[in-house]
Order: sequence, then structure tokens, then C-alpha cells
Amino acid sequence: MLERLKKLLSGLFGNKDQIKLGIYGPPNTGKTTLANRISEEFTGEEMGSASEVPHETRAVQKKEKVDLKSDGKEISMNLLDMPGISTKVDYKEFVDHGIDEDEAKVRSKEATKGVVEAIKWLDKVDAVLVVFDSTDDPYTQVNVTILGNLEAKDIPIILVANKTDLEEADPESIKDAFPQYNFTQISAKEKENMDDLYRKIVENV
Amino acid sequence: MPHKCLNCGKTLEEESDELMEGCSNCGQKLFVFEGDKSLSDKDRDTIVQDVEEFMENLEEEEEAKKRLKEAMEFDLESIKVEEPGVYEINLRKLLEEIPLIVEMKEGEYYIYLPSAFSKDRKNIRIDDLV
Repeated sequence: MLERLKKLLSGLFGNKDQIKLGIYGPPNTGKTTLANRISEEFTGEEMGSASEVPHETRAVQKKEKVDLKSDGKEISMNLLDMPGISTKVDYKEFVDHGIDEDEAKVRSKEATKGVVEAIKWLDKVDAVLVVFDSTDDPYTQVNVTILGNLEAKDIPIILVANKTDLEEADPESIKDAFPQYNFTQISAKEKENMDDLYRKIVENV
Repeated sequence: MPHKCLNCGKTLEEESDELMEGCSNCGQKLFVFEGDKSLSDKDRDTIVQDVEEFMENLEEEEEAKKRLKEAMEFDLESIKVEEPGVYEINLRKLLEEIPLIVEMKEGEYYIYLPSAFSKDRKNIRIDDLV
């Protein structure tokens, strides 16, 4: 109740137009690539560096005042690219990508810290894009836990099935797994179907 | 008619305080109501066995409940350090907004107190713990 009141008051007196949109999902689903596309399109600048190595984003990346326009509507957002959420971080994964052991262990610690940070931010975001890799099985502990938690907090969610440019992509399986949420399928890398995502953001966020 | 002590066979008087306090002869608190007919030794043995079995089951159940409780009480850690650089993260625990608890090795827990007091604290220093 108090939280709601605080939110209402900050909405009335604060910068209520700045919606905090968090980009969540497991590692390597293309969150940073997506954040870069959105940021590039509406501010002309990218946000962070994307990589094939998982947990590349290990601290929350922010882009303020991203004015997203679609179908004549406009919303002003703070875009938050979150570290990937996982249930296990193992430095050997980084070693497999050619990173030396000592650095891999530091990365592993930072990535774990990133997961904690991303989860703490769940209390502060106004809406969330949950990004999936369309080539992966959507029924994972991470996805189910995150979606359940967002729903319990009553935070608007859009599911984004990413990487549809890949041959083995199966975005429908994500839609079928979680049919109760707003859904769109895109390739952030190839800029496919981004307009549909923008439309869904202005409609639902 | 009276009760009989299941251990020594002493017959108690009706409404005897011994029913509550224990047999004055042997101290046991298990009695059987005899009614009008007296209990044969065989019947008594069967009853003693039944009661003992019942008590044993009860104890086992209590033990099981205690073990379950202990297991739940110790399901604490939000992050488990399996070895340096390998972390297992309990998302459910982290989402419950409990203090950040790191299990360094079997049975050794570190509680990160600032995480218990400040929800807004952005910079969790796992370095403090590892």
C-alpha cells in the first residue's frame, strides 16, 4: 500500500513520463543487441557491447530519455539492459571461450553479482521485456521464475522471441509455453519485425 | 472396575491417582482398563506389544518431522560457492528479498547484512564475502 502510494506520489511530482523499461532474460539471448537496436533507432547511439561470450553484460546498463515513437504515439523511457539471469555461473564456460583462468574467475564473480543486481532492479522497473533465444527450450527454471515474479508484482511484460533469423528458431514454442503474455518475435541482429515490438511497447507499457 | 499396570501387573483402585502419576510399584504409565474380566498374560503381552509399536511409530514420525524442519531451516543460501569461480544461484531465495546469504562451503554461511537493510543498495560487494 505504502509502496503504491509512493509510486503514485513520485508519478505526480517526479518525472512521470520516464518509464523504466527493463530488458531481462537468460544470458546470451540477445538483450544487449536488442537494447542497442532500440537505443540506436531513437537516440542514434548504441548502449553496450554485445558478445557471443555469455554474461558479457555484468552490470546494469542505462540509457536515459529514449523517446520511442510508433503509430503516432510516443513514450519516453529509461532503457535498462540487465545482466543475464542464470542459476549457475561457472568460470569454465569463459575458459571455453578462450579467456584465461584468472580472468574467467573474476568474470564469474562479476556475473554472479550481476544476477543479484538485476533481481534487485525488479523492484524499480515499470515494465519489462523478457528476451528469449528462439532456438532454446523456453521451459526453464529461470524463465518460469522470472515471469512468475513479474506477474506477482503486476509489472507489464512483453515476451520477445529473439534470433528468428536463425534456421533452427522456433518462436511459436515460446508463445505456446506462455500464452497469457503479450508476445512478439524479432531478430534484433537483422532488425526484423522491430516495428511490431515498438508498437507493442507503446500499446502495453 | 480397575486398571492394571501393563508392566508389573499391579491392579489399581478405581480413579487412582496412579493413573496420572504412574504405577506406585514400578513407575510405568501404561495401564489397561480391565473391566469385569481379568486380563490373561497372553492378552497383556499383545497389548504391550501393540502399545510399544504405536509409540515407536510416533517417535519415528516425530524424528521425520524434526529432520524435515532442520532441512528447511538450513535451505538458506541464495548463492553457493561450489569452488572459486563456480557459483550456484538460488533465484527463488534472491527474489524473496531475504538478506543475501552465501554458503562458502558445506555448512559455512555468510550473511551480507547491508542487503538485509537496504533494498535500494545497488552495489552488492560479493568481494566482501569471497
